[in-house]
Amino acid sequence: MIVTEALTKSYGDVLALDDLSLDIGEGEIFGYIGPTGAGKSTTIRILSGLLRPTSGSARVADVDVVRHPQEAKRVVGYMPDIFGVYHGMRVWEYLDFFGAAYRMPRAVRRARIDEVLHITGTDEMRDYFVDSLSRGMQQRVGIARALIHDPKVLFLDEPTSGLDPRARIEMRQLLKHLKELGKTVLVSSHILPELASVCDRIGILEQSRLLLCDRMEAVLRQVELRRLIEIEVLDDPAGAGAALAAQFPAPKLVVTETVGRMLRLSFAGEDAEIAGLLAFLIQQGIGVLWYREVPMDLEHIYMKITTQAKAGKRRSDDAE
Amino acid sequence: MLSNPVLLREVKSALRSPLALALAALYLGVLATLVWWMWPQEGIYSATARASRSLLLVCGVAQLLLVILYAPAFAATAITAEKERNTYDLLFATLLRPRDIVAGKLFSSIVVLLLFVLLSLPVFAACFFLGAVSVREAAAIYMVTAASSVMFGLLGLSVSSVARNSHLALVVTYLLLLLFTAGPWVPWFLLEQQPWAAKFIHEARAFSPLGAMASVILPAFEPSGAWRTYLIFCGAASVVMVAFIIGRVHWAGPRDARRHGATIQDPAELAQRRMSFPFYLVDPQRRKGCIPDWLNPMFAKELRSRAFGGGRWIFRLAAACFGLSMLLMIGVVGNLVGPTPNLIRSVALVFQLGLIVLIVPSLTAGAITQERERGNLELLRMSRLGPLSFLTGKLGVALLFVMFLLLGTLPGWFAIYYLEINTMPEILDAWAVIGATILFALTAGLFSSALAPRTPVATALAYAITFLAAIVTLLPLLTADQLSVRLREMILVLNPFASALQVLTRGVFDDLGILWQRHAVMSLGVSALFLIIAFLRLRWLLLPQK
Repeated sequence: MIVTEALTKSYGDVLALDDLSLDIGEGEIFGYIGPTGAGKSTTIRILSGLLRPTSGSARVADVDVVRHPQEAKRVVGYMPDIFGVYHGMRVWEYLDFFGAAYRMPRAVRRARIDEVLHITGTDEMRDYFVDSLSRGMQQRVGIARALIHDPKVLFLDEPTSGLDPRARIEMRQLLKHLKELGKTVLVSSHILPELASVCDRIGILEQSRLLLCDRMEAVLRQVELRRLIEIEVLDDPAGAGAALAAQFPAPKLVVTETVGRMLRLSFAGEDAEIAGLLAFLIQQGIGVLWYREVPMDLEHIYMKITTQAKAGKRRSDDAE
Repeated sequence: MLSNPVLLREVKSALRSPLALALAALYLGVLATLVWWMWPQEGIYSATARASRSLLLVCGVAQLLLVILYAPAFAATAITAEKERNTYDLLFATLLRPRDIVAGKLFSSIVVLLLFVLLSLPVFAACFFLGAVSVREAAAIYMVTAASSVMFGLLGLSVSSVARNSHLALVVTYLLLLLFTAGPWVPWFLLEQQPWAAKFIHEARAFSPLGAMASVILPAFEPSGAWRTYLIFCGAASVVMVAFIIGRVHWAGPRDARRHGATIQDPAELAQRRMSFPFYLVDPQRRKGCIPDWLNPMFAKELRSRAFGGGRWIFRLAAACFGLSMLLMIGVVGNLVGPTPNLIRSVALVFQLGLIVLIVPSLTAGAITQERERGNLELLRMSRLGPLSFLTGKLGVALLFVMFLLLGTLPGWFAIYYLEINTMPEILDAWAVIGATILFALTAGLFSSALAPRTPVATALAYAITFLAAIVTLLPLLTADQLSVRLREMILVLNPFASALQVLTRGVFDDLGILWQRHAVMSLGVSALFLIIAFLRLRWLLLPQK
């Protein structure tokens, strides 16, 4: 649904986007992660047809956005990170205006306004003035506006920026709902934990380059992150730790911490081997109160990947 | 005071901006051009030479007009711009006391304007070589100009302290400036023929900067004490405005929370509202329909978000125009001021054109810049709204506003037609000029909005263009003896007041050729040029950027 090939954008000597190649499938929620200035907004603006790339190609829903930006507007819904609202307009009037600006017939528009208000959970705010809404509600109305012409693809640039925790949770739920509706969504953020729970795949952008693009599990394997295991034993945690260390010598297994009856382990192994750890403990007659793998969060992945990238860059700079 | 951080920042940022440099260059350019143009060929040194006094009059008035034009640009947005940038509250969160903030804003607004006044000293020094002015007169001229700078700067700041946004602050400040500058001349215009009103006329004119300037340069026209009265008035008004600004800044409560608003559903309540003015015309709270397919979405949006959504001010303004024109006409027709048809026509024309010059540029000056500033242009670029729809929508709503205002002035035109039945062709010719002026002012606003980076700059530019065409081109009236008839005609043909007055009144500009046709053609030509430039610029803005 979204395909870019060697997409590059430079402003004079400043390289904003470097050789980006993406392939996002239909119905996917793609998390686009990177620090401020990495090139996320530049990518989104190119894909929305608002910015011309320096080189490369970009297609959205089989439309070449570089050659046919007007056509791209029919299939793309775009919500920028900062957008304005009109004073003195009610929510439904605001949506009606943009629907009319997309040349939607009036009869279709009327029903569609009700629909997008319902999708975004803003039915009750229909008659409220848009400029009187809180930021979280304005973000929802912004998504409703991006949906008004029923695009196949949505580009949401930092949709949770400035929102309180509850609003962020609601935004994540909305993203999942959009996926259920069959929309392809590219959502950018620099707040990593939010994307981890909703995205099918993530792409990590650092200093205008795409470092990684894959599913979460594959990303985990790719970065060779060790898995963290927590075990609470009935008694003798030290003995349990020693037994584990003897059976699975370092670097396979490393006991990183012992707190009371709880052991924290760093383990490099697949799912079957993790199950084998528990089986071993039971075989040894060690009573286990609970056993769990601590989910690796996106922040760790991000830090690991970007650190590796920087180290790699330093090595290549030194070699030159 | 010199260490006041607000003062230092404001003065630095004002003087560093390219706009300040451009304004200073324009200011000095205009004054220097006037001096060069009017320099007597014979170069006679004489304190009584008419050429010298004419030069002094023109320079003094030009300097005063430029200061009046510049005051809003620097002062009227001083507080509103802070609020729009969300830095106003940050100031109060610092250790600065409220009085430091107020003092910084006050003095920075005045200092920049006074700097401009001082810049003109070398130009005025040239007048000394002609023997045109004594030291005493020069000092009086500068005191009047400086006092006007201070007072109008404070006026702009006062408006800024209450206005919701910079655009509104600019427009209201320009309107009030006109009131202060031209308002005291209205009694002279209306009651000149009445002997009993002579004293009142002189006293009223003393409160105008133009009257004060005239009393220094033309003591035969204006009593010589008028400029002292004006300085006292400036001082008193300035004190009142300073107190007002301090009060507003110190004790302004939290901003009114925008009402959520609800649509009225109850039929009985709807029926009741429908009986009251103006809701039987349009009632935002009963609006239910989507934008029709045949209607320009931008036009509809502008009506809903500004005009009729906040329709009170347009109706009030139209009602005020109606009331004022009725009063004027009753006063004139009812023999209160003299039954001359010429006077009636002149009053109607000046009122009509003055309204257009003062209000119309602001209707379109924010057309494009406001969309950019509020972050809506990006969203509009994603839609299928083209530059033509955009411009015609904005222009359409502005024209609708203007129609409402013109409706308010109709009583005057009925009176003109009633007094002299056979004046219909002349009335239509005058309306051609009025129509051309309306288009000129509207397109000047669009042009400015397309090129300027921000709305206050666009508004100031739109007013500068309109004032240049409507007011500055009247300067030849002050130099009647200096200019050839041909040159006077070439300049006055650009002026809508001159063209319209010539066609509708008798004995006005009779020595010149027919002005109105050439004026209308030139005005429409320039309007078309403005529109084309605005269209091309907007089209560029809506295209994918490189």
